[in-house]
Amino acid sequence: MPDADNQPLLRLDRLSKRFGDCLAVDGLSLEVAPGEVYGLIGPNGSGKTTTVKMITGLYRPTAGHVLIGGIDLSAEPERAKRLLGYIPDEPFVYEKMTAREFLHLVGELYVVAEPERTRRVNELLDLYALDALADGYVESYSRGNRQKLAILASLLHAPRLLIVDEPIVGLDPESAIKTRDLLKGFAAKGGSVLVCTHTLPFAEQVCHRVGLLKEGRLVQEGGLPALRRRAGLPAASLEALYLHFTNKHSA
Amino acid sequence: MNIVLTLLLRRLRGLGKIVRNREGAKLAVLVGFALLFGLVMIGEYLVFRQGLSEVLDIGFPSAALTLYILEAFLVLVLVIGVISFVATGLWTFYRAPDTAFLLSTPLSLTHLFWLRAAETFSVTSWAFVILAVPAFLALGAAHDQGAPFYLWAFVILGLFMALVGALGTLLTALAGATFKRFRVRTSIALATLILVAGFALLVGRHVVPSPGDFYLIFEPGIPNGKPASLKFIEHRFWFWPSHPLAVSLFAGVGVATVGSDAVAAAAWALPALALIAAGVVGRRLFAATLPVAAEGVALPSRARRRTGATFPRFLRGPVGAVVERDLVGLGRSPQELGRFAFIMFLLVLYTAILFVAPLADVLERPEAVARLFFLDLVAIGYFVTAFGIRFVFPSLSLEGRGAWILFTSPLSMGKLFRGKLLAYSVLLVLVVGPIAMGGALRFVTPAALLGAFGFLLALLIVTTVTVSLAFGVLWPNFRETNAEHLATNAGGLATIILCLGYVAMVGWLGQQAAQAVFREESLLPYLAAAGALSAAIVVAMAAVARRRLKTLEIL
Repeated sequence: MPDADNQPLLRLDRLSKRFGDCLAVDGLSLEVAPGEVYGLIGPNGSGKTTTVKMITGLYRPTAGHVLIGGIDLSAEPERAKRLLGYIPDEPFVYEKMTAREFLHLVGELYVVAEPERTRRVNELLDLYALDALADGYVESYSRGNRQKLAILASLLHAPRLLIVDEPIVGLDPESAIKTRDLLKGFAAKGGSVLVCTHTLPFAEQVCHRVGLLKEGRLVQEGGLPALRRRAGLPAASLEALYLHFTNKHSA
Repeated sequence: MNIVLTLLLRRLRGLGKIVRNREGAKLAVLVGFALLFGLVMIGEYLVFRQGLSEVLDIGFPSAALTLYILEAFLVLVLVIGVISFVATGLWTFYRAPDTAFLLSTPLSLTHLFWLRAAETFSVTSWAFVILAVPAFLALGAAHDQGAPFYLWAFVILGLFMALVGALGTLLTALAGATFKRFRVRTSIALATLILVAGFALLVGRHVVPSPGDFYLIFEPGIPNGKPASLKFIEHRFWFWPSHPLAVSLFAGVGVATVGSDAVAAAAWALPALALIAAGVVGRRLFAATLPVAAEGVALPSRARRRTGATFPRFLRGPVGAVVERDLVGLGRSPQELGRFAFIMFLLVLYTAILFVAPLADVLERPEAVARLFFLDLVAIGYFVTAFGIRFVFPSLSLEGRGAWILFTSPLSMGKLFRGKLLAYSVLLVLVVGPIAMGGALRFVTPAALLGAFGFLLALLIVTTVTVSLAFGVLWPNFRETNAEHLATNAGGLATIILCLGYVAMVGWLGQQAAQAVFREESLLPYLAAAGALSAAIVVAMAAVARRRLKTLEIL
């Protein structure tokens, strides 16, 4: 369970993003504590990926702040990004590199020293049994193997905060279970995870708290018991709660 | 064939849509490029026109010299056309990204073969338009020809394009079949090397005139009613496939009688035979090779790589790692490597022409040397711009959908910009520098002037790389994966215009410096002016790029 005494590793403060006339994210505020897995769910176009892209520095917020480990991302991007690991929804990686080369490149980007890097790369490749493929070009990998590679790359520099966008799409069931355990284990060691997903059973298994995003606004937030109480559905699954809250909000 | 035409027309529809819908920015880029190429062609026409008029003024040997120029010119375009066709075709025929999709459709291998031939030809045929059209127009103008000649020249151009396209298709299929078990970059490198070596040998022996050849070209004898000089030239070029076309074009000018009925018939028969050979032999080779090549793409490449290798191997630090990745990516991409090798081939060819050109008399005149200094700097600047627009300008956009890797890492984008600037500048200095300096040695003897050439070359490279990188940052497109498409967007056009304008300025300052040396005056003011101009452009462009990097979003 999250350590409530520590300051949050991720804090979004009235974060907004506007694309022309469209307000994709509207004054979003949330916190993810050390040891916590936070799930961000919501319908397509609700602003989840936009939020993730602002947290990782790929988009500039129109207003508000992203604080990672207390560091303002817009003021000190390089320092803040050192604490961050990112797993994108589409695992595009360099086609003309081998998986091993790619992992070493990512390690070099995060200034992980060579002996430590080699140890970590070998350790991580074992995690998904990718060692046999590790010296072939990424262009010959399946989508699932690319996804595994992106997951491993995010862990290479031992980040404190993981931002994960659709982590198990394209993974076989065994790898999906491993990924679930990996995220839980990461949080258990004191790391924070923000997971953005449509796979609600997965979110239900790994997340301590869930935030429901709709039209760029956070409409519900809390642990599963709290959400059940608010919905008046004591035995409901996250899927049932999602449908309950999104339909209610539409009405 | 309808399906081939339909697929080709689909690729042109994007162009038509821009014109029909009056998409302002894209239309401006199209018009800009059309104007740019138009200006280049006008410049070439004027140079050809003046050269051919001066040849006419010589008097009696002008007919022989004109025929020699035509024969040599068509051989040169043939060589460039065939090599670029094969280097591009080996990728397009066997490794184009849509091959798997097209193979899964009812499209037959025959149709796919002709589609690939047409696609490769459309990409590599620019040389005919850019080089041949101004030359043919200048030939007609220098000889006061009317509409029938231009119509005839148009027919010859069409036959010549068919000949080169067919030969290129045949050789591509042959090279594909020969090297089908090789990695595609190895097959492109081997095929290009063999063609370059073969053509270099033939061109060296038969096209480049020796002093003895000039004696024969100026020979006034007319045995059996035909000048000996024309007989010598016909004999010299008879085995080049372009010979019947050169002779037919020359016959159209009507200044002398050359060739025979057989040669005239060969002008039509050779392209037709080449097309038939491509259609029969080339198509069969393609059909036999494509399945093997297509399977090769799907095979894991594990056995090919050194296992357990770390990265980066040569450079250090985050910026060094990204730069090494760029270079490794270039080396592992057959298409990129092919383009790089092709520009290098043109640069080497240009330098070789400098060495074989009869410049002995010209080099006696300081004014002419200063003009050569200007022209050579502009030519080298043009090559550097070609490298810049094709490899440096797209380098940020080609991060593509993997851009998240760099932009979510703690890498300073400012440092990356400076690192790429340094790396590409050093690479171009190492690649272009020795060849360009070697070419300059042909006509520059004073050490001060040679030093000035080296200094101006260094400025050209650093400034061109900065401009290319900066415009690449200002106009990124992370969704486009084709470097050629990226190079033809608004940023590419701006890069070309700014770089070529700058190159012309530096060339002019170089000419003034050369004239100062010959007048025994100081060349430093001109070098300082070039330095100041370059520094101003570099500082301004780097500042603009830095500001843009701070607000850049990865869409």
